[in-house]
Amino acid sequence: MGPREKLALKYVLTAVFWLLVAGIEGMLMRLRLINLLTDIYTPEHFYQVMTVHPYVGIYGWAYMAVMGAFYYLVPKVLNKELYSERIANMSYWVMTLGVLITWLSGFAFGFAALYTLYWPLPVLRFPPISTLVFSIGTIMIFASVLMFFFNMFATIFLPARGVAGPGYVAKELLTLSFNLDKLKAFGKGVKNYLPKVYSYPVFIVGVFRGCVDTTLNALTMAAISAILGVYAFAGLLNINLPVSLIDPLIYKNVFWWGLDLIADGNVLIFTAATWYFLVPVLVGRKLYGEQVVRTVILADLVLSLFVWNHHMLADTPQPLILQIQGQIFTWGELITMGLTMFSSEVPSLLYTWLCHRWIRWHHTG
Amino acid sequence: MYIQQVVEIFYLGLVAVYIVFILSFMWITSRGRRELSTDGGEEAGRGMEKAEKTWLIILIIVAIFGNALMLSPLVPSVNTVIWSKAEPVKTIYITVEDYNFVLPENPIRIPAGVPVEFVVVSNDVTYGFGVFRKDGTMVFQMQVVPGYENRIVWVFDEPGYYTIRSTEYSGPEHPKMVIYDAILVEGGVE
Repeated sequence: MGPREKLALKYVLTAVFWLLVAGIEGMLMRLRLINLLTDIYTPEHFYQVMTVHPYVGIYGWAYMAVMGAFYYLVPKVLNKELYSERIANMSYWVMTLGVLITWLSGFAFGFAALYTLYWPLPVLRFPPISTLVFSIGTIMIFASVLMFFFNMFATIFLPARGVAGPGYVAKELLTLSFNLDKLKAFGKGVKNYLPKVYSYPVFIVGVFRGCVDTTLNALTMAAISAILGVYAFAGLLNINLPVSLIDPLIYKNVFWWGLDLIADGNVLIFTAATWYFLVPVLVGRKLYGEQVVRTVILADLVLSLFVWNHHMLADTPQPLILQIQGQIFTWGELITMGLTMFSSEVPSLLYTWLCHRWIRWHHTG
Repeated sequence: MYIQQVVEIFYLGLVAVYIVFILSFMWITSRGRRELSTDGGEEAGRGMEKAEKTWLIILIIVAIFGNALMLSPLVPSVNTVIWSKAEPVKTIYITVEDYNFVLPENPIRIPAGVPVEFVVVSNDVTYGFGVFRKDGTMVFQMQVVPGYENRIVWVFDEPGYYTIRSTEYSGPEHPKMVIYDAILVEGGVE
């Protein structure tokens, strides 16, 4: 077993451990909801678990599983070396400790502002030390996520180590993520220009376009964690920072803009990219409509930047025009996801599988 | 009973839409089926394939139809906000602070069949303002964002008592934020 295999396994084994923790927590909360375990679960403790549960599930389980898989698959598909195994190992430890500290912020320190963190609840109703520990844990989580993305971008875009720097990677990333070269060619009147993104396999395009969403997610959420950390630290020093410095509605817009990107980047684009990669391998034929799926991923990426308003439909001070815009763009995801479904032909695979089952039942019956 | 039936019809409708999706998908793919290619060496053309274009058109039609439906007066909250623009005949001011709803009167008396406006203000954190029927089903809800006047206009059709409940987590004592029979809708048809 090589170092890359070991790395991937290390990630996925830890991910499964966090899945187990999240699963047990989920079951315990359900039991409390049917009025069992009432002695253990005071309302305070119940909401502490509910607050850290999504962090354990999303970052401990889902992200670590994705990170392990992509650390292995991306270099393999590109037939390249991983940019930095050291960063990969470091991001493993930062993430593992980050999730553990976030979990402790609830379990040992009493933080219970839920994952929504609506301003100013996290800094008004919980001990400052708990908010500070939560802030440190989540900043570590987002730092690990950003290290992973940097490693992915550098692996994908750097021609060879030492040939070019971070500036080159950033330029390539922006150009390829948003087809800027095609726009430039269009501006110059060049017709039938084939964008550079076509020189990358569909899977890799999904990985870096999805990573754009999740990078923006990590940056936004880290900024929010930093704000909470500053207020909590001031609270520990008995300095009273006024909560009115931050507008709750603008905060909520920024929060949902950043948080929603995880759904598009991690859940939609990464999953779609993985199946774009797997379906041809499994069925032994080219991906249906392979020539347009890169554009579908681009449409997904662009749409994902404008859909956050579906979380604000019950906020009546929110401008109506934003609510309508949010609804229209969210319906746009029906189109991109519909095309993804078409390309990966998952229903058709399901149909084939059912036919095989039917034949088998028929023969054995 | 009425609400439950609406919910059931809605879910059955969703299932029907899903079946139509799968059937149209299978129909299109059976028409546009190409030669199976396993060598991977063939250079495909760039644009969309014909079957895919048809599928895209279906998706766009569904999206346009869905958007129009969700912005139409058929959705009660949309009707109140965008279409009817009815002037409220009564405005009820409610304050929320430290897990408590402060009501102007208990119960709040509201005439049936006319638009009334609720203005809810929070003095600390974000809460929810939800109004529920006696059977536990929800009439409407909105978020109560601190620092803003959160306004909602509603027309109550059915007379009777209604419950007010916070519909947003505001801290560990949030589940206690419920006032039974806080609203009494009077008049109209029993």
